[in-house]
Amino acid sequence: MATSGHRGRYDRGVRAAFVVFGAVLIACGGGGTPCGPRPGVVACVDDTPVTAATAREHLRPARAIPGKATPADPQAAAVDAAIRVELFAAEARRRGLARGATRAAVLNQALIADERARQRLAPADVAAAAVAALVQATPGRVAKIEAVHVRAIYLPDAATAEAVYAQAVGLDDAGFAALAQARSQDPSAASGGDLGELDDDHSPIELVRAATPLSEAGALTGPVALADGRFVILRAVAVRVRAESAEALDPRAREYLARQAEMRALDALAAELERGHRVQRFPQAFAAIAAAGHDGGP
Amino acid sequence: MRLSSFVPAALALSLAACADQVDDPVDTAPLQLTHDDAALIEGTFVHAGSVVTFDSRVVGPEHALLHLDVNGVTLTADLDLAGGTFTQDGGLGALYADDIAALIALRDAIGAARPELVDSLHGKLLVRHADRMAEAPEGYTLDRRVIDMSTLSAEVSDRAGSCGNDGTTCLPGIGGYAYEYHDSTGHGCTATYTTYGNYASSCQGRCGAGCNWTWDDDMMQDCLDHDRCVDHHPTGGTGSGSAYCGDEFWDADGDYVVTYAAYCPN
Repeated sequence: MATSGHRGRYDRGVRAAFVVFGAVLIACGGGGTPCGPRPGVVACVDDTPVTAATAREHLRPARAIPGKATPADPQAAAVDAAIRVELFAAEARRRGLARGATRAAVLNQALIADERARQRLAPADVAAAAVAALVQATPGRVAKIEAVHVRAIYLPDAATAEAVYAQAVGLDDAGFAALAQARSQDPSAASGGDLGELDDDHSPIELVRAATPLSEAGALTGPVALADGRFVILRAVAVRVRAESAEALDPRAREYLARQAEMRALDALAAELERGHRVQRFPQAFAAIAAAGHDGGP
Repeated sequence: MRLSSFVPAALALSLAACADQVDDPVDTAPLQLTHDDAALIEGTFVHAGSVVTFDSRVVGPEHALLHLDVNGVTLTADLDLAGGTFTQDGGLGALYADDIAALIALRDAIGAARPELVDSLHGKLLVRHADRMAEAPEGYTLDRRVIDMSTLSAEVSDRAGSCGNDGTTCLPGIGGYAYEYHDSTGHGCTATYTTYGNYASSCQGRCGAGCNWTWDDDMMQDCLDHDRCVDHHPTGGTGSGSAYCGDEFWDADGDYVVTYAAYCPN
């Protein structure tokens, strides 16, 4: 009996210790409170909530999607970006990077720096042959564009514009001109949609803005919504680029190629990490992200 | 083990675990100044996954030196008012949308939390350089530039611009109408009559990102030329960003430096 009584007190003591341990962990947030939909939460990464306020920091102007008449939803993009930061921070902790850091941004940047080093993604790592090939084939990606000669197809609605864009992908200049003659709803259709070289001051500013991504002959952009309700698809017939020395273009080409490689690498890493974590998005809460935009104009 | 020893042991163990998990309240603040006096402003700022570290110090009479690290890109600025030079270097790094958003947020955070910092030379250098670099074209490699301030003058005109560097020509007042000049695609140098300053949607003509309500502003010809170029050729987020407005960005360099303090005589 003496032994049994001692055992009973021992068990009660262990139970009490577990209760205290659990209560304190829950109180300090380490008790693994399940993350889920609740006011102000737009997503969860495992049990870490992503708040609307956090996602709001990632709000950027809507970005065009090639072939789509509607730009990417900036709120959904902001949530994706905030989720990526949490995933990268978790991975940085797993790798033991930035020890002692608690801010997700610091861990996020530590992981990006680690990936740059591991995968040799710095501009200095870009091969000279790749730089030369870029400058030779597509100088407009790294040099000042002096003029862009375009053809255009104007279409009455978004669905038609997206369908015609799909037909335009891969066409050469003659093929695009024929498509413009057949489908464009504009007087320029008669000339295969030829608008000549765009001019900042005399061409409609909508076209000037829409043509900005066209950095090489054959490039396609759109459909872009116009103020008159139509949609336009533009194809570069020719891009005139200011002549610059190889020495001037070299760092820009290295930066461009390194950036492209880094974006591909980080996109792939984010996708891989998302598969390994429990990520939930709550689109019904995305409206809470919208707030008075910061003044970030030109 | 005695019963009375279980609970204190569990409490100690769990508190230790707690201490590892709870964020240090100082460490979680977006803006942290680790040093802040008349000689040195040093700290970090986080925003949307970005990290900015800064060290701005007085190195002599009317002379301040800034190191600003934005997600691994180091920007330096050496403002020597006594010697009449401004030197900046981006180490051929480039800034992108997240970096630019962080710089604007840093400017605004200091403006909201510590506006008095702008009254000191090294504080002004920190805030104004963040403001200025937030206008860099995305992906544009930033090299070393030196400005000889002794060659600049505060001429006021809204009719005397060019497509090149207009020196440091002031526009009248804090808003109105003026010609902006640029290398038009396809047609060489052209001019367009347009609004600027507080007549314009994003305070075009101010030397810095968007509008600003923290300090007085002068409106400058080269800054207007750059702002209108960006309005016509938004980055789009896919290219190097240097294709259209890089020239205009550098042409506005001197204008930005001289407008650290009230500059234009109007």
